[in-house]
Formats: sequence, C-alpha cells, structure tokens
Amino acid sequence: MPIFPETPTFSTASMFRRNRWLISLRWYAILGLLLGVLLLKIFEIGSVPSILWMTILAVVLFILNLFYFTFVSGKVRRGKISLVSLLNLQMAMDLLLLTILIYLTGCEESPLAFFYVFHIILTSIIFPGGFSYLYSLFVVALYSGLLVLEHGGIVTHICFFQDVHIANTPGLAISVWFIVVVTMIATAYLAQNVTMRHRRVREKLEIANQKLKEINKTKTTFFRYASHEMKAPVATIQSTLMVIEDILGQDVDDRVKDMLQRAIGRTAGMILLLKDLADLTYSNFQEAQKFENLDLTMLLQDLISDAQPNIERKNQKLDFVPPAYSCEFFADPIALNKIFINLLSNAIRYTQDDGKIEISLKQKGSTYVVSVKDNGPGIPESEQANIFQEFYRTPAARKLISEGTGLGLPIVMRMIELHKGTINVFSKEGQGSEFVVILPIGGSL
Amino acid sequence: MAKKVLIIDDDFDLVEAMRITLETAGFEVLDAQDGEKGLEKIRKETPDLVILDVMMASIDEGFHVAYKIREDANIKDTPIVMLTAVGNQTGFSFDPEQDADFLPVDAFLEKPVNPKMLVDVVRQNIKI
Repeated sequence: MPIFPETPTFSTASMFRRNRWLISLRWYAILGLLLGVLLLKIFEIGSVPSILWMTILAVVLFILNLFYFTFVSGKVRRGKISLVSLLNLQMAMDLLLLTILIYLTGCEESPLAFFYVFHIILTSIIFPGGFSYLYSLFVVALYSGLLVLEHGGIVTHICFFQDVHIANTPGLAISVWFIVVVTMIATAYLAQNVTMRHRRVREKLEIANQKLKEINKTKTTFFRYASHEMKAPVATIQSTLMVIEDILGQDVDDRVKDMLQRAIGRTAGMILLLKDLADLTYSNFQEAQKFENLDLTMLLQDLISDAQPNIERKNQKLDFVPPAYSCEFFADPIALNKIFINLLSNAIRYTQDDGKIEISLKQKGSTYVVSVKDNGPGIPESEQANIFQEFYRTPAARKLISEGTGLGLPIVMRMIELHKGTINVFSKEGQGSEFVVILPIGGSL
Repeated sequence: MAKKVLIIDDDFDLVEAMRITLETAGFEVLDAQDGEKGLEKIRKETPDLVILDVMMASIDEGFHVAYKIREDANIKDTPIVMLTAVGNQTGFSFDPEQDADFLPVDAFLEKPVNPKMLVDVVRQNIKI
C-alpha cells in the first residue's frame, strides 16, 4: 500500500476512474430520458415532434456513451486523445445535448434547466481547480445563446406544452415533479459523493501521517542504537591503543609513538562523531527526554565553571553577570546543556588567545534571551546560512581547527526547536560573533 | 601480597587491555565474562575491588550484580568501580551519573578507559 493517498492530480489511474464514473452515470441519464419520454407518451402531453427528437437524442447519447466506453476500455486505438480530453469531450457534449433537450422542451418554459446545476457539481468533482467556473461560463454561454437564437427569430420557439392548461393536467404536474425529483436526488448523490471523497482522503492522510511518524521513530531508534553499538568497539580500540601508548610503548621508536598518537586522535574523533550523531536524534526521541523545572542562571554558571580550565589555558576573559531575578525554566536539562556547551565551546575554540567572551541572560517579555558573544574571527555573511547544516564547517573554521564533527550547531538548533525557541547569529568577518538564543517561557508545556 | 582486582565485563579485548594496565601497576587481575560467573568468583576469591561493566547481556546487568554484592554479608564491603558506556544519554532507562546517589557503587569510569585514570581510580578505592 502506498504511503501517500491519492492526491487530486491527474494520475492515469484516477483519470480512468473519473472517465468510467462519468460513463456509468450517463447510462442512468439515458434510462431517465427514456423514462421521461415514456411518461410524456402515457399522459399524452408535449409536442409530438419534440418527443420524437428526444427519443433520437437518447439514441445518440447511447451511441456516444458506447463510444466513450469502448475508448476507455482500450478497445479503440486511443491515438493522441488523452484521458483528460475525453473527460472534457464527455462533459461538453453532455451540456450541448442538454441544451438541445431544453430547446426541444420549450426553452425558457422547460424545467430541465435545473439539470445544469448538477452538471456543474459534477465538473467540480472530476476536474481540478477552477474548471467548474469555466464550465459554468460555458453553460451561461449555451443558455444565453439559445435564448438569443430563439428571440432573434433564428430558430423557432417550440411551444412544448401547447394548449395544455397547467392547473387541470395531472400528467404535466407529474412530469415536472419527476424533473424536480431527479434534480434533488442527483444533487444529493453528487454532494454526498464530494464529502465522502474528501473524508476518505483525509482519513488516508491521517493514516499516512501516523505511518510516517512510526517510520521516523523506527529510524530514530535504529540510528541511536546503531551509533551506540558502534561506540563500544571504537571505545575498546581507543582503550587498547592507550595501553600500548602509556604502558607497553615506553621504549619504542618516536615514529611508533607518533603513529599511535595519530590513531588515538582519530578514534577519539570517531567517538565524538558517534556521540554527536546520537545527540542529533535526541529531539526526536521522546523516551530519552526528561522535562523539569530548572534555574537557567545556575545551569549557565555550572557550564562556565566547567569550561574555566579551557578559558584559562587560552588566557581568555569570560564575562557573565547573572540577572538579579530568578530565571526558572521548564526544560530538558540534557538538551539545554547541549545548547550552551556547544555555543560556549565554539566561542572558546574559535576565539584567539587573550580573546573576550560575553554571556548574558535576560528575560524579555515571555521569553528568555541568552547571548553568547565573542571577539573572535567572525563568520562571513555568506556562510551564516550554512553553519546550521549537518556536517558543514566553514573553510575558515577548518583552517583554524582541523578537528570537528560539523554537528555542533545542528545539534544546538534541534535542541532549541525542542523547546520551541529560535537562534540568530550576528556576525561580521573580523568582528566577532554573537549567537542569540530565544526560549519561550512555557513554550515546552 | 598483591591486591586482587576482579574485572566483570563481556568485552574480552577491553578486559585484556585493563589486565595489562593493572598488572603493570602491581595488581593481580581476575576476570569473569558475565554477572553470574562474576558473583561466583567474588564469593570464592574475595577480590579487593571489583570493576563492573554496566551493560553486558542485558542493559543493566551490572546494576543487578552490584545490588547482589551489597546484599551478601560476606562480600558487601567489596569496593565497586562501575564502567559506563560512552555518552550516557542514549535514551536508556537509566543515567548512571545522575543515578549515582542511590546506586551502591564507589566510583564510575567512562569508556574508553584511560590507563592512568584506571590505576588512579583503583588505587583510590581499594582498601589498604
């Protein structure tokens, strides 16, 4: 079963279905027409030549429908006529024949003009978009044309009911009643059909949406477990290499030590990458998330004190003036830590020695605004849109620091989205960067 | 006499790496591949410290072993160093670092195992 339900476009299968449906409805219309002729005969009303022409019209319609039928069933070579054109041909011919029928039954006297209504409903079902407007214009043109022809004296008016007195002719009443009944039933059937299609499509969409969610969940779970399974052997390789380096390799050649260090460096990078891959799926993995009330100021202070050794090593200066008011926030602490660890460690890593980093936390209306600002090399404007893409690292960043997974900012972005927040970057080349995180208070509720 | 360290871990390669590290540091090293064999060895050999992997056959086998050690009067004082997987936020049902308060272990060591840290942690926790 396809994941996506039928969409209202012209797929070949749906064109076949639409054509066949129209053909099957027409069989009933022909039957109805013949029944009408029979009624007129029985009650001996209506002009006799008109009734003869009506019978001929029914036969013509029958032959036409037979042609449509064989065409759609593939019994006639289709050549260049497409299924869409056939649908248009069917509808246009029907409206033309209906107009002739209206002429035969007395033009403006004829109650058959009602039948235009459900033809227009039909066009709205089988054609997309504005087609039903075009067809209603076509109907207006046909009907006005007929009136103009008749009143201009080009065609003679048929006085269908002739000298019949409406009040004392039950046959006439029954005929008109019959037309009203047919119009009502046809309209109800078509309107119901539209609603049912709509409902069916919506149900299919809901099912498809549910399936997509399940597939996404399976994918996320697989992703997390796969990266976890890969971490174990890499960690063991790393542990083994460190034993060689620290314990067994004391007396070896410097080249061996150098190779070992390279191998250890690369496995460490691999472990970081696998950790980041797992983090990337965190926001889709509800089982792992734990939302709780936490203090944003304290969270930032803890992170800063953890980062202090790195800041001191680069002789950088970090400013954070905590706000005087409390910043309570209902959030997932793991996700929130990832956001600010990544932003802070980027600032430390990419800012030169003796550089300056400023962190600020403010409540603005119903949001908390956290800014991490540095006076480092900045990010060229052309690169700012790319830095949130997975695995993307700017050429300048690669040149500055060769290690990096290129997943830090994408993780930041997803963790912020988990809290319904946004992130903006303000930076100019050579003039530092500022990352501003806006977190709606209660946005995660 | 050398102090005895028992390593309970199903990753044989990691066990060997730790064995070399600890033997070089002067410890006697025993090993067991799963929780059940590990408990058996603790009772028989009474090691001075146990290094226990969290995740073996099941996701939290290490915890069950730790609880069983603490429930057995004869061995309940054995120091336990728990080995945890890299990056604990994998979405499993527990978080060793966070849950440390009510877990009956003395120290945690994250994989990959740094030899110097391993020796330090073992020395700090072993009872002399």
